[in-house]
Amino acid sequence: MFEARLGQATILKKILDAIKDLLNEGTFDCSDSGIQLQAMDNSHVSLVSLTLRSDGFDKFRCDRNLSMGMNLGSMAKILKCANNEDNVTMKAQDNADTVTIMFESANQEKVSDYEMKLMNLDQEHLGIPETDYSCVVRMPAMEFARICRDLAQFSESVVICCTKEGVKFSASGDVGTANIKLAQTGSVDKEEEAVIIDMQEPVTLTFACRYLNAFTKATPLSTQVQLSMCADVPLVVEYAIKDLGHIRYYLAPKIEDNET
Amino acid sequence: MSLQEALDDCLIDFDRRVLVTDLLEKYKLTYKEAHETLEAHIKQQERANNKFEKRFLVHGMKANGDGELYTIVQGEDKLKEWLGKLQNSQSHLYSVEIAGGSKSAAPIFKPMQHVEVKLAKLEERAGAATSKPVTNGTDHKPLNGNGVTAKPASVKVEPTKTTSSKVEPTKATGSKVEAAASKEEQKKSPPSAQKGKGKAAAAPSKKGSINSFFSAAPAAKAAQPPKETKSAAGSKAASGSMDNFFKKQPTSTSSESKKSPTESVKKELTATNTSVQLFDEEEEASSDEEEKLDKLRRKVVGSGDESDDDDAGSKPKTSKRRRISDSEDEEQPQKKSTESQSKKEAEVEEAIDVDAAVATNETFLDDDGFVITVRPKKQAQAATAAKKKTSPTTKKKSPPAAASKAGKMAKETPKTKQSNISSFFTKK
Repeated sequence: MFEARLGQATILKKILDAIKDLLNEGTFDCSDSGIQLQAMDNSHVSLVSLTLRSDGFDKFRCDRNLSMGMNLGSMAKILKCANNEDNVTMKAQDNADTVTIMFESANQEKVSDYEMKLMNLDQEHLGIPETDYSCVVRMPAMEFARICRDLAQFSESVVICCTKEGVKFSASGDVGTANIKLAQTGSVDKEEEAVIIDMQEPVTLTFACRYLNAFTKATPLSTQVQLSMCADVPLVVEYAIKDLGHIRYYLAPKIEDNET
Repeated sequence: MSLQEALDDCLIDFDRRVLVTDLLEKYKLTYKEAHETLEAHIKQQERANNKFEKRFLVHGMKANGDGELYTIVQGEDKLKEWLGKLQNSQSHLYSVEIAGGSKSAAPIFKPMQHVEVKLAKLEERAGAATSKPVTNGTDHKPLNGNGVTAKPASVKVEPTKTTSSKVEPTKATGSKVEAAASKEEQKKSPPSAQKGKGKAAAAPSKKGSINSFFSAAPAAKAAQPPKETKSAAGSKAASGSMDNFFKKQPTSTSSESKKSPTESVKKELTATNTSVQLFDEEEEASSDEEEKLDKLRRKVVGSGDESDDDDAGSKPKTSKRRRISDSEDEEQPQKKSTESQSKKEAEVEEAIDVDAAVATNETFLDDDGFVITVRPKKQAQAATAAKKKTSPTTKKKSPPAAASKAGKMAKETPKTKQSNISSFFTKK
């Protein structure tokens, strides 16, 4: 028996919105430690890793490890039926082929439940090694989303260059070139507005704008985003989900084409 | 009401010949069902000393290999005889009647009116829908020879029709009737076929599928070039002399009307392009319409002298036009253009040293009578390449600053390719 209850449906809504553009389907691996989802996008360029800790839920029960393959589009549709303040409960029997998602209004006057068919997904799970990243940039999630959106107008690719001075995002295309530099903030009143760079050695990497923009769909989940970079290693874009876990996006860098 | 009920209630009058086909039609049964029910009923009746006379339809291949034979035989003895005569023979119960002569004979052959599959081109003959049980007159007896066998040819054809093969009580012989029928069909069938064709042609456009729109475009393009050449030729020639030509036109036609049509045609043929243009222009108001107008005029005016003159003037006009429009004169400008094209192509050929054996033009007349010259792909590509080479004016000159910038950018941004995420992580 699996049962997980969240106080606010809006968090689950945001999570689904953050991943459904990249992934059509995904397997939620439920264990007593919580819920995890790992999946690559269709083109195998990026990887999404979602972790929701069990202690972040209002109620969490998982008698047996359970993998629930879901169509994320369908799940997002169901979650749209919930009000933001509704309690949401996910329930599934062991070896069940459906999951029940129940919404309860705050005053318990309205209870709605939806049953969704589960899928058997044959998805690869990748082992993500622990990496010491050369540069770790923490910056406002909104700012990152804005930068990605703006630079996407110039080129398909964004070059992220992290140096002592700060982090530079640049793109060049037919229209022209665009450079956005963010310097590390000395002292800020609000923590969420801070740009913090932890750099061991400078890194310059090129990434596809399209995916970065897809990652920024998670912006509502967190005020800050963390970019972890290392030469010839996928970029990690991490959004923390307060008290619950995190969502990490891994994006393979664009590498120089030696053939041409 | 089912057949069984009808039989039980004595609603079927066996004093008249009862055709199985009638029963099939009336009760919408399969042959097997109708046959079984009927047989059961007959057996029951025969036990009560009622005798029935049966007729059977026999189908088989003639022993001498002359082809198929359909025949109706009376009685089971004859049936056996016929089954023995024919190869691959089969028989079905065809009709039943009280033995000792029925009061009124049923038609010798009456095909099914009800058809499971309706054929598209079939038209119901007038009166066929209101078919009543028809009694045969004595006149029809000679048609079937001994009254039992029917001619295979006529039988073969008829079952496929929905129209009844009722023979009208004319004294005509069977063959004549058949001939008339076939003529009738011939008369009828072409329009229906045309209708069908028309429908088939109109169907895709009616549907309005997106394919129809897109597929139509290239066809239109393909059809355009000849028109373009026409209009181009017309406009070229028309540039200076169009007004003059129209001024001249009435005098020329009046003089032509006096001359014999052949002479006028000759003149037209030898005329310059301007005459062609006139016809091109006038072609738009189609000659058919002109003819109709002429006919109307003739009718209205009657047989007056003026009308005769008109006719004399108009008749050769239209015929002349037709001849000219059908003649090669119309195609001359095209030919010229194709010639010039081919000349150019030849020049291009020389310039780029394309193998002559490979790069031969294919010239042919299309369905509309236009001369089409198709260049081989290689040659066409080479030609376009050569054109690009030889026509510096077509090149777009980009501003040098922009070009240099682009060059710089190209230098600055090295070409990259997207790597795969799975190449960075190991599979669990």
